[in-house]
Amino acid sequence: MKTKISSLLSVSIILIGLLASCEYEKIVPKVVTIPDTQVITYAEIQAVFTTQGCTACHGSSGGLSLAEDKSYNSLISKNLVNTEAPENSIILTKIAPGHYGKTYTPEQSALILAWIKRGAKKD
Amino acid sequence: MLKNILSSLALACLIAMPVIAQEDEDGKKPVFDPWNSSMLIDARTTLIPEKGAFNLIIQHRFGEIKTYEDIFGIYAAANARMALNYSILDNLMVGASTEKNTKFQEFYVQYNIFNQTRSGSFPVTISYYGNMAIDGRAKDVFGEDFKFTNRLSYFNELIVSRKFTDKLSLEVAANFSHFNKVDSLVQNDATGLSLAGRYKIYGETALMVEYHYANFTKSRQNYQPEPIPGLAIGLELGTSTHGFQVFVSNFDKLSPQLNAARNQRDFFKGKMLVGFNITIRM
Repeated sequence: MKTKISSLLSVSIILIGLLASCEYEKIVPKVVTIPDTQVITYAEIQAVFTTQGCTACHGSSGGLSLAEDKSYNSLISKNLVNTEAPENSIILTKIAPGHYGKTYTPEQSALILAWIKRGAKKD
Repeated sequence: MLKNILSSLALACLIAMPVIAQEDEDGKKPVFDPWNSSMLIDARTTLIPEKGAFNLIIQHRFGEIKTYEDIFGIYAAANARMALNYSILDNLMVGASTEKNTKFQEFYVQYNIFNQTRSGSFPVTISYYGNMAIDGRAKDVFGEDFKFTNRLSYFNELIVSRKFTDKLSLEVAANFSHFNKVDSLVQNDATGLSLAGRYKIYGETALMVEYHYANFTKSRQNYQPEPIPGLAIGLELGTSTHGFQVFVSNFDKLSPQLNAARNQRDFFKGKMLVGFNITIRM
């Protein structure tokens, strides 16, 4: 009985300690604007995929390939880029800032959005 | 003669009394080995090893089963977690773990509030499991105004299990997850319900099945997808010093709050992976 009470007490103390540090906060993404005068090349877009480590899983094999020589064709053929509604492009929304897990930085996200708005060209 | 008989009866009573008391004491003891390990596949069981025992748990998840080119996920990027449990009492266990992919460092406690008894005087085991995890990713992930408590998340679970026969054990668990700081489109809290079972098919070899329903609080905003339920089927091989489990699951993470609140892999859309757990009893 004594052991049971001391166990309950220990668990209660741990629980109170845990709950005391509970907080409700949100990560608010930074808003980045790309100037109209800034030239964006596809090499910069490819660099985002490489920097973010996307190519580790989406390499040359499997469904979506983000490897340097295949990524552009893959984005277009799988309809991941939507030039009519750039903000809804899957390549942008899938890991946009605000989502849990791997995300673009706000700068990367703005760069991809600006590239799609300008027609998502390879060169 | 009568004196001898009475003496014999008295002696028999004296010998029998501790045995009767022992039987009564045994009846109050917890059921023997309701589970093989404190983990089933991704679920926590109500098994707490005896006081003073250390358990090392190694969990490994291969990549998603896709094609034969990556040997159905074996060559793909994998995830792993190492956990060390220590039983302070027969019904109180503490532990710590680290996970590779998410860099979650967990500290947890499990307490069996009531144990199913051998005599059946209490029919189920009721257990509380709680953890606090530190997200070890770079602080940039947590946005502006970073402070250490942004990294913290919690998982609380109440598990009710019953060993029905020597072969069959089942459990149901309700859980609540909380993340201190989350991305702007995600809720801080999530709730879930798990069902898990084990059926011994031969000796200490058992079939395992578990299902995790996620998120009863469906009020997320915008396009953040809801967590997808988890399903896993596997085989368990037990020995006196080791527990080995191999299975197919759609959970690729190993911290309970991440699986409960963040899973985006759908078992029925083929988003499965092969994994194994090894429990080493010390």
